[in-house]
Amino acid sequence: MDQLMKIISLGNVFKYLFLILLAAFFFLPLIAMARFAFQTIPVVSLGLDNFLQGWTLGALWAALTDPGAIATTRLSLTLAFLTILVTFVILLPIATYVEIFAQKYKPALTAITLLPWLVPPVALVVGVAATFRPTVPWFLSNPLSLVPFYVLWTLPFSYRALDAGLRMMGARTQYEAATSMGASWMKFFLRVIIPNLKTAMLVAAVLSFALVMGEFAFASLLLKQTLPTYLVVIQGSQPRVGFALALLVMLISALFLGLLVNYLRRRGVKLNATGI
Amino acid sequence: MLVGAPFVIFIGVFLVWPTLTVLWNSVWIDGQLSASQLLRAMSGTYRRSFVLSTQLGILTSLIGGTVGIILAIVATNIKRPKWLRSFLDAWSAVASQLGGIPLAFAFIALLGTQGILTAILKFAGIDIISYGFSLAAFSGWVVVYLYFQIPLMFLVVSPAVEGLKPEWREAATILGSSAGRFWRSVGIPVLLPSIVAGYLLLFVNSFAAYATAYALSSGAGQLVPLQIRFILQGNVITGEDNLGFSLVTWTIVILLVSLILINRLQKRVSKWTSS
Amino acid sequence: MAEIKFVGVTKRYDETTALDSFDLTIGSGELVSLLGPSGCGKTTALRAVAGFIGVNEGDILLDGKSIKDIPPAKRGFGMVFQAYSLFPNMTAEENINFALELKKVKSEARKKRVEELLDVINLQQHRSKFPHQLSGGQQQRVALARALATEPPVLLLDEPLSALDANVRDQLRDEIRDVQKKLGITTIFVTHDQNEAMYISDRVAVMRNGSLQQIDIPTILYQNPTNPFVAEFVGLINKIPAKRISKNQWSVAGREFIARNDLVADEGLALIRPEAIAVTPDPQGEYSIEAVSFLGVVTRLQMQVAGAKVIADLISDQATGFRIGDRVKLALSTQDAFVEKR
Ligand SMILES: Nc1ncnc2c1ncn2[C@@H]1O[C@H](COP(=O)(O)OP(=O)(O)O)[C@@H](O)[C@H]1O
Ligand SMILES: [Mg+2]
Repeated sequence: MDQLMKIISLGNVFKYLFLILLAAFFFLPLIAMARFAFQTIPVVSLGLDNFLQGWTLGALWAALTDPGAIATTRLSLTLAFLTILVTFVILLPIATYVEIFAQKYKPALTAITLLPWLVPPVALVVGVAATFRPTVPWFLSNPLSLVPFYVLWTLPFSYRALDAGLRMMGARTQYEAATSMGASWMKFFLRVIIPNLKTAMLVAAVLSFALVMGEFAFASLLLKQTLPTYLVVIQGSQPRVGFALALLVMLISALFLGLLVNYLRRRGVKLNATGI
Repeated sequence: MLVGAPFVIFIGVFLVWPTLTVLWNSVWIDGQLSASQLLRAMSGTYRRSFVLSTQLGILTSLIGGTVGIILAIVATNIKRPKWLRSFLDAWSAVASQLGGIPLAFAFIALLGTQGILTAILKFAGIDIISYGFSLAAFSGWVVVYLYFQIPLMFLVVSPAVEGLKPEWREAATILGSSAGRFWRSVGIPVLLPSIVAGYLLLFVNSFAAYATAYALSSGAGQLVPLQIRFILQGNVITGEDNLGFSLVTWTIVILLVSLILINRLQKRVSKWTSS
Repeated sequence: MAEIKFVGVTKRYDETTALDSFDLTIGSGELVSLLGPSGCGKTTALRAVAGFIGVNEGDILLDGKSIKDIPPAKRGFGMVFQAYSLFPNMTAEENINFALELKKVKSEARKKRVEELLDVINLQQHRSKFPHQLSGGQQQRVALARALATEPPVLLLDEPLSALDANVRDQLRDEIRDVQKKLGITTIFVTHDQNEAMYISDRVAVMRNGSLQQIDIPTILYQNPTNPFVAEFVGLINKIPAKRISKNQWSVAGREFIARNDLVADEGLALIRPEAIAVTPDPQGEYSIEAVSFLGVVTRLQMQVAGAKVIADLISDQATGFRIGDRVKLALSTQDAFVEKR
């Protein structure tokens, strides 16, 4: 009786009502998008009588086999891969160095990695264009010129992930232990830092991946056709295919991030996905 | 020091140099220093853009932030289905990053002129379009932005809400404090830095959001980032580059102030919750 | 002035009964420890007095009057938690001041009282520090001062020392005892550390599975435990394999005795304190010494008896001759010994 009263008490009713409303807000758009993609009946002629008719996965198939979709997905995947690679190459050494030898520069590094929050994509693109167009004109015409922008743009997230990893593994103590046994810097970096930083690198990689696969502003400003910019194109000509593709992109990023959060939870690590 | 060189050069070439170029060109007009374009960027239509972007930022930050805080408090108090908490954590990480084109499409399918919910509501006698609701206008942007603002706030304030120790509440109670007095003297002061930092971050997030606004208004919106693009890339009016740069400068100033405040507040938070 | 009385208090959770017809009286001005293994209901008992949890049956009386219907904020008791209870947004001084403010003490009087308390806990020079700038021991001192600020009739402490380093713990333990005696405040002190309980308390209440096993002054608790659980939980005790001869007649290490309790089994373990074993050198002796440790006043010898490790404590003066490997004879003083299941 006591229990029953507790469950139906006013506070609980409010709590669950609140959660249900939020769930509706978050899932109805996805469901609506799925309906649009997979039901051939337009909204205007939809009624109670034909609600269960006209369902087909045709749009999904069309999306998966669309040559434009395949080509732009390949480009976006390449960009994501290169972004992650370049991030590790330029960021890992300095992050490790500062953590071990130059703690006093840490606030500066932290602040610098926050700068991309500050400068809107359009400013970077225009600024870079003003410098590069006259000097190295071929640079901005290549789709891979997006990589440096993406490295910058994911920096707040990737740096925080790597920094948390370095702090957790106790890089400084590890360094003292390793060098006291006569290991060189390079050896220490490859044999101690990298293996111990695997989880943090995975976090940085997955976050960067999800961000790049959804990035629109830079690609659109530099007139490059990546998966997100192609979504706008295909939605104009074949709306249902566009919606199916968009849904797919959303679900795949959600899946990746969800798996990451879950993997981290089992290792007792909290994900900082705020980038601040 | 050599290990830092690639990073420093990279930041210099792709971040600092372009940014300085933009800042410089907003005040270096026709071969002399002048604030004319900066002033112009804060007048007329451009001023309206800033007002609109700021309003959107403040409104979605207040609504999204408040809902996010309530969600964080509810989530720490709900123990019953155990999976709920981990699901919320995972989902928020996902949803806070789900801006962009796909999100805009999802809302078009739900609340656009041909949206399913629009149709259902109309069937039920509520014609939201005749009430002036449109995804291509302010009211619509607010709804869509909340989709990533709420989970972002949840992620920012959750650690602080979880860090509220039950001992504080009990210690206050046994000293004779009412629940209201506890929240006034301890609970809110402790949470406040995180909450304010969260609201500011949401403001920054909204101010800078580009893709969602672009897709919702087919590129013709009056929000600041879209205006800047219109001036700098539209090639409609030549010789207006300095004006575009000035709009960027103002944007940077607004975001910079917010970020500095966030940083200050976060330092305070980490002190209180670390012990 | 402030006597606390538990009368048949029962508190049930979904799966456990945290307090089971718990009876206990704490006299005015007395410091009573609640001692027992983790999960035995100590915190539950304390929190019932504080008013944070309601009980299913029974009552708690303050000077003979039920406090069941008084909310915790109105009880006016002082409480110190294990850790982390200081308000993080207030300095040491402000934490103490807050307690006085809540009791509507006038500004002048508040100032004076804060000074007094900072002197008592010896933290004048750290008064303007925030909790995160204080050590664990300093934080607990401030928590104590805050709890005592309004001169409560009853002080409740829930393992206040268990999160501290050993030397800080001993020092703060003595300080708590001094202040408590000086103020003559009725105090309940929860701990799972028997040394701490024995050291600080007027009387120690040993608990097990939510009920009271025994309450006595420390020496009696040690010398005359009323059941095997208390005997085993308080102080060191040997468990030596024993055989039953008849009814409660048992034999251990070649010596027969009447067990203090009933145990229906052919074999059992006799509970014998280390100082109740006399050791004498004897080349023909049945046992041999396996370890000798000098502990100051006493010296501890270790032997094997019937397959069990047994220790004997001798006054050091009389134990100088023992070496590892020496053969010895044992004389167990088995008077009033308990036996328990093997
Ligand atoms: N809120 C609760 N819900 C369910 N069981 C509880 C709760 N609080 C305590 N218990 C149970 O009650 C018993 C006594 O707990 P407690 O008084 O905290 O023990 P102690 O302080 O002696 O370690 C334990 O078995 C514990 O698991
Ligand atoms: Mg306890």
